[in-house]
Amino acid sequence: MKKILSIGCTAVLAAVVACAGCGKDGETADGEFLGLKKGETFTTDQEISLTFTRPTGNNAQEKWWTDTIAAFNEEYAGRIKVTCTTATRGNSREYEQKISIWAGSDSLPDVLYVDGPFVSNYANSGVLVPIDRYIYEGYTDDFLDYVNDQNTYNGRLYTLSIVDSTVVLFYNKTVLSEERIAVPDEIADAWTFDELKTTATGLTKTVGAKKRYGLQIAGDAGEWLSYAFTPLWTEGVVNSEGKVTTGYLNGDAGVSAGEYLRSLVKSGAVYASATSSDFSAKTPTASMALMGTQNISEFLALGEDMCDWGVTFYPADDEGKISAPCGGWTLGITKNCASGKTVAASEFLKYCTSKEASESCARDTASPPSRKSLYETMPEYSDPNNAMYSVYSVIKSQILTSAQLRPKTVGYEVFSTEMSNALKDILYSTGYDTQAQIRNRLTTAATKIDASIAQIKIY
Amino acid sequence: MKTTSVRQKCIDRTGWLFMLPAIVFGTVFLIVPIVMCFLYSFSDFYMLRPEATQTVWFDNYVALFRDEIFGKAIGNTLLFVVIVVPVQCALALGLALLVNRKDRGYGIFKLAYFAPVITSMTVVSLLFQLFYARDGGVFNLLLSAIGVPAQGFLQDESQAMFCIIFMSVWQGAGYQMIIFLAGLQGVPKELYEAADIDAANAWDKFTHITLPSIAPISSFVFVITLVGAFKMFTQSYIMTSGGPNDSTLTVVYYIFQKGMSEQLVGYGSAISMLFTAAFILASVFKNLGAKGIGAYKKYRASVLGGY
Amino acid sequence: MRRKKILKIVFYVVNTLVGLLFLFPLLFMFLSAFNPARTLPTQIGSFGDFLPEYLTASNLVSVFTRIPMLKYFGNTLLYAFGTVLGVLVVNSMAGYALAKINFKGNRLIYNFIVIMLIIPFEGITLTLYLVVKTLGILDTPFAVILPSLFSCFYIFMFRQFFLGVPTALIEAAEIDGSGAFSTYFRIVVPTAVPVFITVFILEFIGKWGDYYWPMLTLTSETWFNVQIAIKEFSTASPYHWGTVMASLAVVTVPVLVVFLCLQKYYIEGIATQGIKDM
Repeated sequence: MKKILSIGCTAVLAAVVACAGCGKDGETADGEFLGLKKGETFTTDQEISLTFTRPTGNNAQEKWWTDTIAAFNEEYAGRIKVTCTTATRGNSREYEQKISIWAGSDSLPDVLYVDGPFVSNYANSGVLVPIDRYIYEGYTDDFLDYVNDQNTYNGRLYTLSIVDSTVVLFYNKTVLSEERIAVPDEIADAWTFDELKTTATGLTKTVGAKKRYGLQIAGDAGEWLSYAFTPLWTEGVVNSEGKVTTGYLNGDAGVSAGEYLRSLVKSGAVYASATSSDFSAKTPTASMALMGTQNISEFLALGEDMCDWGVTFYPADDEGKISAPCGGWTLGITKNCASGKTVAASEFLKYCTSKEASESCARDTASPPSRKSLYETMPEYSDPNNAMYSVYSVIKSQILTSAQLRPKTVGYEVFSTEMSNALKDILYSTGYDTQAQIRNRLTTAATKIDASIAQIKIY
Repeated sequence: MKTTSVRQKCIDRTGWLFMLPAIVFGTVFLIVPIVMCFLYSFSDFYMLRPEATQTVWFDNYVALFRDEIFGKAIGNTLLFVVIVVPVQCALALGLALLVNRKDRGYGIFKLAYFAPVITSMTVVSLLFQLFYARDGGVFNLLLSAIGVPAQGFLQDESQAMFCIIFMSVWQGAGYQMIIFLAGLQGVPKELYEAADIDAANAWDKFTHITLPSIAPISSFVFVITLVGAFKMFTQSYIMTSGGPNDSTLTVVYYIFQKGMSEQLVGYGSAISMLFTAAFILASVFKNLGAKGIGAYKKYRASVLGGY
Repeated sequence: MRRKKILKIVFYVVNTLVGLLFLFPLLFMFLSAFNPARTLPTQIGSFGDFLPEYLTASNLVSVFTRIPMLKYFGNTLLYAFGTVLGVLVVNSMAGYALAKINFKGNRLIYNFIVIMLIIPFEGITLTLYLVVKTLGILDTPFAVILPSLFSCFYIFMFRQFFLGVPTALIEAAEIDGSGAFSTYFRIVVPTAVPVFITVFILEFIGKWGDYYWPMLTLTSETWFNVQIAIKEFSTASPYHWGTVMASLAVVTVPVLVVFLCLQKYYIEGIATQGIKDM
């Protein structure tokens, strides 16, 4: 009995391990170009089927993807067929956990939609393969420079982006005009962080029986706090190799950033909530909100239920310089895509990131496009008479002049989690009122991040 | 002699046949994963790149002994276990005593005490986050009524674990209550009637009849509560994500963080294995302890006679 | 007599007060399901703040119209019943063998099972996923059903129960020439209905509330269970607090019904636990 058991055990194990190890690397030794040249049409003897996975989006995003993939399959009928599956995103990195488990069990789809800052991580570990041999030279010229930077690791291109995102300051027009507060129209006049604090404090008051806060920021853990406030670390949060945070995250700039954020909360003007409806209601809990541009499509969908809202710039530092958090989801090809399919997959990438697709996605999902030229041609971004111009022009100038990427590190997962946890403590927890306490907390986070990154091998 | 051994062989065969489905499913879905986990704990398995896995022998375990966060996680878990197990068992027994009556309407009370067990953890933790809020939370409103300044609760390193403990006790007690209730209903009526004749008071009846009668069921409750408490994860995951400053980070949470979130499967597996090994050791000690207590009881019985 | 009456009233009062404390989240959830407000109360000055301004059924309606909730109910019922059936067969037989059949290796297996109780699921997620993938059952109902069939805890529970079944009963049947399996199914199982119902309820509640593992293994929307569905629903925009609570209330109802119907047996089934020495 025992013998049978142990044999059975070993057999299953061997099968499993063997299967887990059968990933292949899709690179050819030399650097020759393997894709299609500009204007060339894709031909094939038999239809190639591709699997594609992306996170489940809101209604607008779902519709755009369904339409786009249907259109692609129609245009490439008989040549390429893309089957799309969506994965729940949850609110705590469930999508990334699924990617990990697919990578660990050799079940990745051919094409994967990933969040921008994870490109380094997935490129290093080989989850995504470089695509520069499949995308003809010059194709990426029209893309925003920082977007190309985000999609590149060690000098090689891994992904292409359709749209991008940034963080802006939303405000309730009714409340701000009642309080006679003028909002900056020009990026040069953007509020500094100190002015933001003064304004938010001034706006905090009791209306009726309810307290109305000046500013809403997300209160949950996960990534958001680190995404929104990394620009306050004026000397950076991680070294140039993306491996060490000690001395950066807990450096002097970091400690003063911590002190500023703490004082912002201590002023009583901050309402911590991750749900956008706290800001969007007609009698809002907060008069302003620091949020990502991805909320715009939700606000538009709310229609009449939505307060009268506007958008202004992400706050500037003391010298008036804005470093707006940017970077968004992006399309890549995984190591599971068989070499015979890679060209077809790159066709799909190019189709989704074409000028037309990028424009329709930007319009339908209310996200800033990833291509420079669209900011000149799309009326929302270029025509002052367009209804959305007041909102989109703010985003446009932020993206074109002041974009800052999240740090490029192979340990982005642990970095963003630990930095967000540290920020959550510094913002809201008891006992972070002195410089030393703030420095200690940041040092703990930096130590954890560095230890974890040191455990990740660089391949 | 020979007939017994044939008979025994037959019994063996029947026994293993009855065990067969469990052995098949247990092997495939529990033993194999554990054995793999054990093997991985000697490797640098990185989930995103399984093909580059190498054997590192005891590196993960050595690193664990130097890992301060792991030490902190052990401390937090022990704190949780040491408080939750006795408090939750006591509360469950109290509830069982409260509800152990035959009057009308007691089905509703039982349901009420069981309600937190069947309510989604999302609802429960959402509510408690609301209650624990620094501004406008129910607990702080109650405190301010008696002149105590507002507390941080979940946002205070020194209080967060106790807040989670409080919620866990409240949430889980109903389950153990039902088990105790069952035990109480099994206590023979005659014992109480005899005590009434002796004019014993309620407390004497409780300590001399009720407690000894439910002793065996208590040990069952104790074991399941203990095992559950050691595996605490969800509450920290949903309510505090291990914070503030890792004060609610438990061992299982750390396994999840390292093995799943940070994809360091080798390291996470090593923690799992240490955790299991510690429990095996503890159960060995518990058996030794039980033997010791048994020996003492025997000794006392021989000295005192009877009781 | 008078004293007894006072005691009775005291017990009612105390139970009502403590009961409300425990019933609160459930009441809160059901009340919020009918709340038209888009956000949850931010300040709780009194219990009045929990009460909605007026009641509306639109939240409940949107749970069933915005997503195919009935389909998810069907899926979840399939997983729950599939698992429960298997769990009852697999673990009761093992528990019976451990309690009543003195086969070689009995004690060893029993000790092993007690120790396995401590293995945290979080520790073996990836390796279990690898196994399930190797078997080729990912994204099928089997991926959620098969791995939960074997349970140390239920084997432990069944064993505790079967220890209390008189051996004479089994021996009598065997003398009558009944085989081991027919003795088990015809004589033993009918005496064990309460414990079967207990395990039924526990596993049903567990499977109904299962989220993480189905989330990892069931990728197609066709196979979603209710928990994945409501998690999706609650994080999807536009966020509406009342609707989220309504979705939670809707998925709690079946569990509530199961518990209410089987409550009596449940207590009876648990009553036999742990009576025997472990």
